[in-house]
Amino acid sequence: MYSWLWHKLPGGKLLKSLQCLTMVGLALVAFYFWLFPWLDAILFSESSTKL
Amino acid sequence: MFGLQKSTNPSDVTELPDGTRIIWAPLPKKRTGRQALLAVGETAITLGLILALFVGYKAFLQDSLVADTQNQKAQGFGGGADQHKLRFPSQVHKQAQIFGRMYVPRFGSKWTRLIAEGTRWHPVLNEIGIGHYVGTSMPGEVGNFAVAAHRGGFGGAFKEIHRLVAGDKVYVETRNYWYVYKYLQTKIVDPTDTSVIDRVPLELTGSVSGGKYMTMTSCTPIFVNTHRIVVWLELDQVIKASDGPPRELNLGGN
Repeated sequence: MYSWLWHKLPGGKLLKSLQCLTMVGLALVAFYFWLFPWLDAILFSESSTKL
Repeated sequence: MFGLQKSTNPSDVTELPDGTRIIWAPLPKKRTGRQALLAVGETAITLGLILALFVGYKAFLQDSLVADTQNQKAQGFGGGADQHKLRFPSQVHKQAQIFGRMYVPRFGSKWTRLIAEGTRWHPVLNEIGIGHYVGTSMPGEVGNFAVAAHRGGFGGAFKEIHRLVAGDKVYVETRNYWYVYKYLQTKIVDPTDTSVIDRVPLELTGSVSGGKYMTMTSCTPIFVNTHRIVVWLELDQVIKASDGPPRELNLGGN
């Protein structure tokens, strides 16, 4: 998967690395604002408390 | 890896006019099984990394950010030079209504949280900090003033609740009075053991009818939450709000 993506990316090693870092950065932003709050709501729901 | 091989199939052999024979090697078989396994492995590693990031976010980043927000909200509530400054209400009429502020020196000299009516996660425990169990006594009243807060996650207002020991005091500020409660006892109970917030908690050693108690409850162990940790306190002192905050809090006339 990652190897396939690496080969699909245009440019040399430096450009590919920059693109990968950008994708990781965007993913982290998406995790922080969307995925993690969503997981939070699912995994830590109010129904789990009784007292 | 996939070199020329003799083929048993005659059609794989081409004979040129000069007598040269070309034997065509079979195309390498697509190793779909190995590729699928690789994809599954990489996906599992990716999901594991995301989960590890989530745990880090939940345990450190979110907890710390929410704790700071709740603390600042509590410190700023009713303070400052704002002429429209907010004041705690004298009576509680609805869920999530903020009616007081708690100080626990054992949790830190700057630690403070607002107290609101009800123990709903949203918006009381998650955003405000401390929730008052509906139906239990109000601060200073005869009976049991029972409150709850998160232990871990969403600021973990009662993260350090297990550190409370004999001699510790908890201060509750309301519109007209400061109530000073002194520590009595800590107990770990099942989540279904709701008798701990009874008017006279029988599990509290030496509890008597007519006593003015306070019960702090939270989840334990942190992030596991299979049990509840309960701390009982008893009213020790009542100070008029007009006399200012208790000196030992060092609030500087705040």
